[in-house]
Amino acid sequence: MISIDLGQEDLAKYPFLDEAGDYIKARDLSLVDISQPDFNRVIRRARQRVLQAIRSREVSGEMDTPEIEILSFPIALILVKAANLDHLISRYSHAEAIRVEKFLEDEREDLIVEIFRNILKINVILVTSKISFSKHNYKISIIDYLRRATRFHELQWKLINRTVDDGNVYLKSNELIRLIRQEIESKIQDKLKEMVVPQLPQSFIKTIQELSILSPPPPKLTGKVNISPDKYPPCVKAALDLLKKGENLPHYGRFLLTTYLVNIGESVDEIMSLYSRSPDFNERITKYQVEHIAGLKGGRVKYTCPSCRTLITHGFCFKTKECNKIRNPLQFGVKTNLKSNKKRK
Amino acid sequence: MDKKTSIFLKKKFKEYYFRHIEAIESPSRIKEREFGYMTFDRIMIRHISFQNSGDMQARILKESPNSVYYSTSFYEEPSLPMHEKGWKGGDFTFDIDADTLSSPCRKDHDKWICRICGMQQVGIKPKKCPSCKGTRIHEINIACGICLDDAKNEAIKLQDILINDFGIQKANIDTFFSGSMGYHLSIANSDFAEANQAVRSDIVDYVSGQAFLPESLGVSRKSSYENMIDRFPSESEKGWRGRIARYLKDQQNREKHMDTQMILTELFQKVGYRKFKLAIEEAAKKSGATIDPAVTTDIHRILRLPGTLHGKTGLLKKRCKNLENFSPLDDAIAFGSDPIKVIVDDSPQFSLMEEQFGPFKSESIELPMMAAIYLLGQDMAKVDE
Ligand code: SF4
Ligand SMILES: [Zn+2]
Ligand SMILES: [Zn+2]
Repeated sequence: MISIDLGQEDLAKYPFLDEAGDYIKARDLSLVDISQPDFNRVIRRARQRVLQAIRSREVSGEMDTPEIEILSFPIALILVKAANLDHLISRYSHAEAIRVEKFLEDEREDLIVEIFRNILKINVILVTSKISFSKHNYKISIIDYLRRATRFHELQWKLINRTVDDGNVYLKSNELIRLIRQEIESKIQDKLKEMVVPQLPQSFIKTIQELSILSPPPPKLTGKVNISPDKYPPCVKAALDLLKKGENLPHYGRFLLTTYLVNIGESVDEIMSLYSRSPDFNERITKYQVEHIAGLKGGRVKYTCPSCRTLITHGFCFKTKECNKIRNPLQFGVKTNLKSNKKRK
Repeated sequence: MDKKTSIFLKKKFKEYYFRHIEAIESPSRIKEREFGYMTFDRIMIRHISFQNSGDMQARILKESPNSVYYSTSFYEEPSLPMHEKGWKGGDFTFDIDADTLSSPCRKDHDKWICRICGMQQVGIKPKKCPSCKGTRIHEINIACGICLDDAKNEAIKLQDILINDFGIQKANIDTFFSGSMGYHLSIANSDFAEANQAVRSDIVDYVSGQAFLPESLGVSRKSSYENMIDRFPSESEKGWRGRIARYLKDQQNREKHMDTQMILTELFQKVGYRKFKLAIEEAAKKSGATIDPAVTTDIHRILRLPGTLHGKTGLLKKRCKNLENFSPLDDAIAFGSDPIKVIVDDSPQFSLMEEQFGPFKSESIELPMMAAIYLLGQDMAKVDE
C-alpha cells in the first residue's frame, strides 16, 4: 500500500492503483446504478476513453471532475473486455499507458517513488547531489535498470552510456518513466485479462457493439519482400533445418528465425506452421511469442533481427562467403547485390 | 598423445589428487550444479551431479581426469539433458584469456601447423596457410610470463569496474588463475544470478568498453562550443566518464598542467565530432577489460573446477587471494622437480618456477617433473620408452 496520502486527483490520474479500487468500493455502486441518468457523464467518458484509444492511440487526461475520471476507468475496462477483441485490448492498454506516462512526467517526486515501489516493485531512490554534468533525480539498481533497458535498441540506453556508480544507475525523470511504459501497459492488460464480465445492463450492450464496429481490424504485417527460402542467410537456414529435423531450436535460434521472417513480411500463420513441427510445440505460447515479436502484442515494438555480432556471441552464426561483410542477417543478399550492381556500372 | 604418455599423465594426476584432494574447491549449491570431465582419452563426460563435496572429490580421485568442469549455472535437475535441466540461475562469470590479447611476446612463442599441407611456423596463426591457402590451421599457444601479466592487468581492470561501478565487494569476487592462459572471475549470489542473456550481454559491453558514445561525455554532432568544457568529465568523476578522462590524462602526461576537461575540449575542437568519436571509442576499449563475451553470456557454460589440474599444462586452476601479487608460473605449480626423461618433439622456450627451459627440438632429455608434464600435456613431448 502507498504510504503517502493520495487525494482524489491522484486517484484520477492513476486509476489502476488499488487505492482507486477502494475508493470505488466505498461508494458501493452497482452497474445498474451506473447506468442511471445520474451517471451519464461517467458512461460517456468511459466510451470516450475507448474511442480515443481507437482513434488516436492515446487517452486524454480529463481532470475537471476527478470523480468521473476515476469511475469511468473500470467502466471502460468492462467495455473493452466485453467487446472481446484481442487487438482492442492491446490498443486500449497502450493508450491508457501513454496517458499515465504524461501525468507521471509532471508528478511530484515522492509520489513517483511510491508508485514505482508499490506497483512495479522497483526501489527508486531520490538523488539530491549532482554526480555528473547533468542533473539526475533518481537512481535504481543496475539489475532493475537492465531488465527493462535491454528492450530498447538505441545505444544511449546501453549501460555504458548511463551514469553508473556503486551498483546504481542515475536517471532523469523522463528516462525513468520511459523505462516502465511497457509495464504500466502490461498492468492494465493483465487487469483486462483477469477480468470477468458481469451481467451488463442493456444500455451497455449498444455501446459495446458500437465500439466493436469502430475498432480497426488487426494490423497487417507490412510489405512482404518475397525472399525464397533458398535465399535465406545461413544462420536462418540452419534454424529452419533444426526445426525440420524435429530438433529443439535453442532460444536464440527461435528469436532469430521469427524476427527474420517477420521482417521479410511472412505472416504469423505461416511462421506458426513452421513451429508446429517442433517437439515442444505449444500453440498458445508460440502464437503469443510470434505475435509479440511481430509487434501485434504488448505494444507497438516490432522486433528487428539480431545483429550478426550478437549471433556470433550466441554461437548461432554459420557464416559463409556470401555473408560477406553484412552486419545483420536481413542484409543478406541485399548488400551483396548492391555491390555487384555498382561494379557493373 | 600416445597411450603410454596418457597413462603416465593419468598416474601423475592421480598421485597429485591423492595428496591434495582437500584442495579442490566445491562450488556453492553443489547439488544444483552440473559437472563434467574429460578423460585422457579425450572423451567428454557431462551431465553428472553430486550430492556433496565428498562425492565430488571421490569421483575426481577415482577418474583422475585430464580436466574437470562445473556449470556456472544451477538447475532443478542438473543431470538431465540440457533442455530438461530447468535453469534456476547462475554465477556471474568472466573469462580473460592471454591468447585474445595482442601481447608482443606471442609472435615468439605461438606456433601453428597447417592441417592440410603440414607447414608449420613459430608466430601468430595466419588466417590462411601461406603455402597451400588452406584454412584448417591448428595453433599451439603457450602463455609466458609477459602475456600472463597482460592478462592479469585485464583482470585488475575488470575487478576495478566490478567494485566501483557495480558496487560488488572485493571479497565477493572469486578470482582464479585458469591453469593455462588466463583468469576467471566469478561472483556468486549477486543481483545478476537470474539475469538473462540480453542483460549479461549488455554488461559484457559495459566492462569491455564497447559502444561508448561521445554524447555521454556531453557533446554531440551539433554541439556548440559554448560551455563545452563544463560538460566534459574530470578525472575524479565516477563510471565511464571518469575512466575516459583518466585514460586521456595518462596519455598526455607530458602536459601535466592541463586538466582533462581542457584536453577533451581541445581534442574536440581540433578534430571534430567524427574523429573525436573514434578517439573516444579507442579510449573506452583500452580502458575496458578484454574478456571472452561468450563465457559471461552463455548461461549453460561449464568452467574448470577450482583446485583441479589443467590437463594441458599440469598447472592448477588456483584461487588468487591477492591478484596483484599472484605469479601463475610459480603459484599454480602442482608438480615437483623429480627428474624424468622425455622425448621432446618441438617446444619453444618456457619458464616455470623462475627456471628456463628450451627451446628443444627432437631431443631426449631429462626434465623436472613440472616441466615434463607441461610439455607432455601439450603434446610437445612423449615419455621415453
Ligand atoms: S554472418 Fe550474419 S548472416 Fe551470415 S550466418 Fe553469420 S549471423 Fe547469419
Ligand atoms: Zn597449408
Ligand atoms: Zn607471452
